[in-house]
Amino acid sequence: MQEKIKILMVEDQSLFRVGLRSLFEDYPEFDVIAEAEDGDEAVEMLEHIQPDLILMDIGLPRMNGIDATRIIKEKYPKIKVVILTSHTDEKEVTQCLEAGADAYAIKDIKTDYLKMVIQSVKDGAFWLDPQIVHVIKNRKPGAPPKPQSRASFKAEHANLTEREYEVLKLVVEGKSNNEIADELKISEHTAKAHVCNIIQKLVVDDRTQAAVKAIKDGLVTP
Amino acid sequence: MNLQKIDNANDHIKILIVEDLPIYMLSIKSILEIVPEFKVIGEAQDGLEALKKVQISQPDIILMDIGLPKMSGIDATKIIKENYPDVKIIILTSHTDENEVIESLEAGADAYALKDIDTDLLLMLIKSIKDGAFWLDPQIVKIVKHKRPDIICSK
Repeated sequence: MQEKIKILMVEDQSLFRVGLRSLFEDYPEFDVIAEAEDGDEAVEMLEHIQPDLILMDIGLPRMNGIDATRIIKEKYPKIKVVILTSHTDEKEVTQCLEAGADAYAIKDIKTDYLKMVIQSVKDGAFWLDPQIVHVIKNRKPGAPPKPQSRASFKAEHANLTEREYEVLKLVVEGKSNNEIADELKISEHTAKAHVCNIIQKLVVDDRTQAAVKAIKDGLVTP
Repeated sequence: MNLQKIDNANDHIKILIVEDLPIYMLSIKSILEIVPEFKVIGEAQDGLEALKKVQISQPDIILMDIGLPKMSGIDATKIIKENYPDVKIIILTSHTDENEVIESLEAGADAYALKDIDTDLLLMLIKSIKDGAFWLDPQIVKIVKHKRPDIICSK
């Protein structure tokens, strides 16, 4: 039988502590071995207890969760720290991660996600809540970056003619020589010749590689 | 469980599997079938086919192998993330090469899981990544912290 995951809960709001405690009653694999109401108390407790994992709030009296995380990770690097907070401030998120937090969860997390996070982080995984993922991803929602222009592509590679470019677009779509010929109203022989020229000019081995190169270099969007 | 609600197509998480080895493909499909909420809307055996399938079927989430013919999973990830930023990508691979790990994350992967992942964990992971979370396998965390801790704002 797998050993229980020993958890230290660091949370100043008694209401939230009660909620977590009753949640963990349904998870026999977890054992809440202690509770602390601030960072100072948590650090002191660790001289006497050895949790596997700490659920750490940020906004705590006396010593906040970020400072407590930093101290704990330096002194007890094997203990995992899961930040569990309502704070979504980018600076605080960054500070927590820099302090060594192994996961950052927001308090509205679904209960089965929290279970997954505790179990996988205890084994060494890393998890970030959807609400703060952008802090590490620097993701800007909206339009993707513009693909490289045809002119710059041509400058970088061989000089494709207008017709060869049209043929290349159809190659990327997976069209056969016959289909390309039909679409461009040229003979199949001519279509084949264009494809051969494209392959030579792009310095690839076959039409598939030509298609891959065209997509990777942004000449044609998929 | 309200089966009527789950039958509504809008509640399904639409998944595209990109995997070139047939036995792994079979295995992943059979695992996903356990969850009524999941719907496998496509399969691809290489990165190029993955691009086509994304365009046609617009998945919510992609389980993406790395070692693929024609176009690698890393290149496919980069292109998909540039053109379809709302599609989530979980790298699901046996590769732990440091450079591949870093390149996958720089390409925009939302999670990096290894093929020895616990199946229950994988199922829960898919749901949380679809919601926008970010997750790294323990072995991958070690690589990232060693090679590029800045990726996870670590020091």
